Amino acid sequence: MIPFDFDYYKPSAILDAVNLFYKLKAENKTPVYYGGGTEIISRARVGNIRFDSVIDIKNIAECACLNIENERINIGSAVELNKITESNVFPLLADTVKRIADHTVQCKITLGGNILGNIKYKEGILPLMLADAKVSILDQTGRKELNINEFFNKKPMIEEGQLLEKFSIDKKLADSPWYHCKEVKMEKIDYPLITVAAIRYRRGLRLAVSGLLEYPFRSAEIESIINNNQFDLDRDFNNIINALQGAVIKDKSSDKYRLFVLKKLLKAILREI
Amino acid sequence: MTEYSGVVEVRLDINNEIKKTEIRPSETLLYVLRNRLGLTGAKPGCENGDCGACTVLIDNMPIKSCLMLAVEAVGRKILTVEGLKDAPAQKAFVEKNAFQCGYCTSGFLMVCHSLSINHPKADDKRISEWLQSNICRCTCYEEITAAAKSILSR
Amino acid sequence: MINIDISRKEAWDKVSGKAKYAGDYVFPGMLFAALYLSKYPHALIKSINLDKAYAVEGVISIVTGDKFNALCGSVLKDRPPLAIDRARYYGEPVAIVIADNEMAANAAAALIEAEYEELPIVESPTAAIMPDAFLLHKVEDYEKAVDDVHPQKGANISTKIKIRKGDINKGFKEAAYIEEATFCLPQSDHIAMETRCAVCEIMADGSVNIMTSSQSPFSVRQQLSKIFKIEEGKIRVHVPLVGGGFGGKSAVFQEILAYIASYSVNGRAVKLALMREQDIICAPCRMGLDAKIKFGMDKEGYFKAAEMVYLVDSGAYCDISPKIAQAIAVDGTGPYNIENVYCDSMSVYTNHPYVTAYRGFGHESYTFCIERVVDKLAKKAAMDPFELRLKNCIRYENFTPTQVKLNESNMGNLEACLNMLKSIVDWREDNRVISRNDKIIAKGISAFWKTTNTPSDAVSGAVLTFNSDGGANLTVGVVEYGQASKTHLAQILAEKLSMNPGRINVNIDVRTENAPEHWKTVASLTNYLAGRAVLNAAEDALRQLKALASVALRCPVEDLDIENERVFIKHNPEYFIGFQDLVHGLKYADGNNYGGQIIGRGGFGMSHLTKLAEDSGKGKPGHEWTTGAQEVEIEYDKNNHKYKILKAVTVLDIGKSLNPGIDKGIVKGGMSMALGIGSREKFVYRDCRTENTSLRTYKVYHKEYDAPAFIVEFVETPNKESPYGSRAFSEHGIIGIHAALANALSAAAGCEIDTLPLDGEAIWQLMEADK
Repeated sequence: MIPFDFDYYKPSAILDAVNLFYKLKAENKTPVYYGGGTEIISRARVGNIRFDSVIDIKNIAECACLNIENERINIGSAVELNKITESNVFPLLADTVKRIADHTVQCKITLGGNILGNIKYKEGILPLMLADAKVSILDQTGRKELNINEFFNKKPMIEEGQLLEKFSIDKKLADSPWYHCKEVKMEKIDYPLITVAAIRYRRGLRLAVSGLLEYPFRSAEIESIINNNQFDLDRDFNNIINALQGAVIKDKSSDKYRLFVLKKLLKAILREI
Repeated sequence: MTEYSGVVEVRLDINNEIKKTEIRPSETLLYVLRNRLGLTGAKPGCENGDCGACTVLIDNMPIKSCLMLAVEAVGRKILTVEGLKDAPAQKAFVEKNAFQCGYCTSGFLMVCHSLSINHPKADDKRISEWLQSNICRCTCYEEITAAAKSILSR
Repeated sequence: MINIDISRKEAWDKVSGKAKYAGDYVFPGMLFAALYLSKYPHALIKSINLDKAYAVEGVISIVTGDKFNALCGSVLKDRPPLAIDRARYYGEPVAIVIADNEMAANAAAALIEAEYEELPIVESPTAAIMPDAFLLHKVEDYEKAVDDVHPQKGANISTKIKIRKGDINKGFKEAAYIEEATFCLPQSDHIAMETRCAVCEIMADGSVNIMTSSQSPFSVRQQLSKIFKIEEGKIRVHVPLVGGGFGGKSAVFQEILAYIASYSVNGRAVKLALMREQDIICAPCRMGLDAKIKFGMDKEGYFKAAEMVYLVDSGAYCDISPKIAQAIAVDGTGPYNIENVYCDSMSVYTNHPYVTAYRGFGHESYTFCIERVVDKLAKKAAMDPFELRLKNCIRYENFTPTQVKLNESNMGNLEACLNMLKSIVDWREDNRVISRNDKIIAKGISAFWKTTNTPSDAVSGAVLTFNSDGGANLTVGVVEYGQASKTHLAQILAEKLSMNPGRINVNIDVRTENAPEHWKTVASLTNYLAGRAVLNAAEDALRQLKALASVALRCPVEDLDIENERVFIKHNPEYFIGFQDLVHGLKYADGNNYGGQIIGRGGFGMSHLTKLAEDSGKGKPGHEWTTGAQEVEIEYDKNNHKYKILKAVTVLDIGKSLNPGIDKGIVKGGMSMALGIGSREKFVYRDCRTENTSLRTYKVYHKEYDAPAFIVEFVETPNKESPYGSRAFSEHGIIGIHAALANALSAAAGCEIDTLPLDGEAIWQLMEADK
């Protein structure tokens, strides 16, 4: 039970949603965009967040799109994870989101919610990073299209009131050879120890990781180490560690163990693709 | 644009009946089912989406009703355990001894019922993925798995 | 009717959503309570500010500890229901808000502000018994609720049990091999799927109606009576179906808070339903254990001496921990025949959440230590771990650590269990550990025993009435939380009355005002304790039925027999009379009625149990010992130290299985919990603050794709004093599985694995440390 009241709006037009947000804001209200709502509800219940207006975006066609047009895959921010898995339009993404929470919750969590939520792992972003996804965002000034690395750098670069509309992915990249593995402490339904996603595109290996640092990342520096002709995992693993931009997560599992697991996963990636 | 504010009256399509009830927009579907409609088969095992004891079907797909606002369910078809009438899953759970204390049972039943509707030929992997959404603390899941398999045409 | 597979009595209610648990009931005008919990593991509460909380619309009352200056406890009265001046664990109840709606109660509880002054924390039982440890209690000031508890003055020790058998020094002198090991096993939680809930209303005459999710409705009545000075009969406890207990709901906890809440609002009905997070951090949990074990073995492989120190981490209050420490002491050698035993078992205060009974009652903890030591001894002496267990396993004519002589009635046949296990798992020297490339497949075994550790005066009862169509109604005080007691008891009665169990109705809900007292629904004891009462009630009814039938059939009573709801003449079965014509009196054609209603009554109590002698531990703690042997087979990956559980096996001497399908399922459930303890379950503390407070972070066993095969087989050596020979079995599946797991992993990884839980990281750490 959520211990406070709020109003609920469910617009069908994307501009209505954005305008409503700014209107409520101007009235000194605290609106939130609402996709699957799984995290909003659970955090509200324990008093971690408070708001007085909810704008549910699931009725907005653009946010609910899941299609392929002109060799580009479009996935709306309000598409539930299980639909991404069942459609299999982007196999790496399908496999990645299939390991977020559990199947029933996947019927509720949306891709946008996974990426914009408070939980640090945000595994849904990994395939999008690898596939150079384009991200469209709306605010009062109109629609903006960003490259994925502009949209996400340690955290989503999205300001209050901006609405994440959809992701668009080049089908060629989505169809590249790929690898995904989520390692957990013990229980399958758990946050990751380490999740890696990788694709091989034009002979180069692209790699994105969640669970190692406080945020999911893709690192050009690490990819250049791995893609070097002379690369040897045992010898060069320290270079990879040194190239990390932040401290390795220590809670729940030690940093050393996470690195141990990372190395095993890198070995598997190099073997598989 | 749909808009709900304060205490509102809504119509919910539950178990093939239209139920008129007053709700507040901040109430979860679980809360409304249990406290406003007397449908207590869905259980508040964690209210955090972790245990699955509150699972109901929304348009035939399993949803943890603790993680859904009741207003989100307006206009959709809700099926709770109370709406099952001699469903194969119920019989299978009884025959296979697929429960002990019974507290998780409604949730597991709804997952199995949905599985039989959506994937009548589900393989072991899919059965596992769907059942992993729920926790049973009494059994070792063997009997629940056997019940699930017995209602699928494999 | 015995040894047949029939469904649970309440099966269809449970698959239709009709089964009702305490939290499912709504009462007109009911109010809602919410708890404010301590934010510190150990602190003085300097002040509490309730202004903001009271300002929330709908709040009616807020109660703090100073308003109820009573201490409670079923063994030692050490715990205030609401912290008074001082909180001793993170999550201890400090205040209760009562409001006219749930939202207001929760919102207000979040607005309570308290000022604390932190005190030093005691983080483990080993630290707690150090001479300079901060004292959490003045135990010597506390009133004892039972006389066989031994708090140690000036120490953090709520009881100390001593076992002295034989001559320990002589034993070690005879030993060719000595193995010593220490263990620190963490606390964990019951995680029953139903969180604790109680609804309390106080009537105008001061009498009390309580509905609660409890394994111990009669303890609720007794304790409330003592704490609040209310006549027992004026307290009516109603327990509907319970959503899992595992011992956790045997403690009286939420009922006291619900009473306080109702009292503060002039007796109006108040519901207190714990949120999962509160159920985890605030309500009593499972013990932790620090142990030191030393075993001596002679050249031939016979155990000569066992010396053990067990420190039960009871957390901030002792609840039933002194009895757990005692239960560990009485069986603390493991199921082995050892002449020389020296054991100190203590329950010790720390600033962890307080603990209560948990499936296994301490046996699931100490057995891990003993079974690891047995495997270490086998390794040291290059013996087969199976042969070593078989050689030393306790047998008839041996004596327990508390010097009870064992016979084939009061103990299961462990040797037979071990031998059956050996053949099921195909235990051979050449296949215990098999290497396949990077994978190692390994087997580990364990043996266990457990007595029931009941109070010597525990009682049960049964009342049997009949319907005008001849069907029977059985009323007992046993709570149903999944252990199928109602079904088992119907079978026991059906067998005795030679009638169809489907024609026997058993009360599912327990109401203390009309069910005969049943001590507690714990200790896997129901089939014995309540079963004997049911048999007595059946005897009583049979006698009455025959007496009346002898009038109707005009024959001596001894010529009569009963089957299928008919009383008939043995040598002339066509002369019979149906129950329907007897149970409400014998009806004559002219309208006369003779005999009134037939009501069977049966009482039963434990007998011949004794308290333990304080200096030696000598005494009889239970009426029987259940025995069993277990195996776990794993596939271990040398490269990443992860492992997969392939198989888990239990062979248990059940005496007689009443309902094999259900009984095996119950044992498998225990094994599944043990795999949880073995692989993932524990409370993670940071400075005594529980960190994994939800099922998101406190992980229990889920369905797995490549789930292990669960195998359960029964040996059946009847217990002659128990209904149809049945023995206690419901909790036992949990006892030795995690020990077998650690033994398998130790064999596979080639290092000594003495910690829990065991995930890939835990083993990796041990391997790194070994390097």
